[in-house]
Amino acid sequence: MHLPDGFLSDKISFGLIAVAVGFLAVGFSQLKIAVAKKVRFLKQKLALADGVQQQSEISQRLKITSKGKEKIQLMAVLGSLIFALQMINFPVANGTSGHLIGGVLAAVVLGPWAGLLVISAVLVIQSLVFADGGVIALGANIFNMGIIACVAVGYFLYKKLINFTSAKFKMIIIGLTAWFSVVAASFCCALEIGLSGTVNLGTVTVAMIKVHLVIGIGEALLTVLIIKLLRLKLNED
Amino acid sequence: MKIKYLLIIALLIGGVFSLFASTSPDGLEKVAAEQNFAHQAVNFWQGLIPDYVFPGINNEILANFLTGFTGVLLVYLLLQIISLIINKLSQSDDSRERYQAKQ
Repeated sequence: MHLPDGFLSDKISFGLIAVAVGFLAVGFSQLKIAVAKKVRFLKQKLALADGVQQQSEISQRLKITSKGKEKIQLMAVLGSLIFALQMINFPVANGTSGHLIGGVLAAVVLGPWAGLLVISAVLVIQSLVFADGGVIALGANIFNMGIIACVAVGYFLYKKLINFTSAKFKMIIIGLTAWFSVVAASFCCALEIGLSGTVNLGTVTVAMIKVHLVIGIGEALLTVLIIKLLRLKLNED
Repeated sequence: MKIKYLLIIALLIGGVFSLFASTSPDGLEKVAAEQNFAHQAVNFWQGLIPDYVFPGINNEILANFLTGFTGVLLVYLLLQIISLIINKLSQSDDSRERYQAKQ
């Protein structure tokens, strides 16, 4: 559901660019805390010109931990994988196709903020290199597939649901949230188009949700399949 | 699974399996066509590899392979840049402190 340019009003496009930039800034600073730690080191100054003078102080600097390095590696590889999987359109009913979004996949494997950065990186490359999804609509696409599908549904809703159920049903919950993430993203997408005045809000919302109720099943199956087949470890925090 | 295998799988899916992807319109494109607003889409920017067809290559299989390969690697590199940025930030923190210390 990559929105091209022209479907949204300027107000909505630029508003959502601002929202996306805000969330990405939070995501980046959260990731920085997760992958790097402040290390103290001793700074020494010597001034030997007139008489001997020596000063030393303790200073701090950010350093990426070895666990953090692994995390960034995993982000890069999962991003590549999600990009590749998004190229695979699968057929659904009457001449329509769908493809994985990967929001829930990214969120359960990497956590919400790293997941958001990964989905956004995929969308940025798709938009700038492949003209898949508009440039001005990039904010809206990051909102729908990153902030809604990955952070809101893939993390917060998943967390809420997982608290109510036993660990046995984890994969079922992941499948359900993956399905719902597509429906929720399509609802937001339709809302943006309708509120832009491009087409009637009611009819576009009904049509978009109807199609994505089916496409979401593919998202659910693929998300669970990928986690199982590739034995991806789920994010614990 | 080991990280390098995951990257190889991504390259395989993007470069090879994507040949078998459905070419039907996706959910949004279908709705846009049915409700007559598809023509409102505008292309300000054609992209470097428009429509996932690698320019200047006649062989369909090779063009598809290059497209998938390029995309997968670009996403990989863009995300790897994060560690460069964090390292860079830590250096500027350090130089700021040095500046303050001088005063």
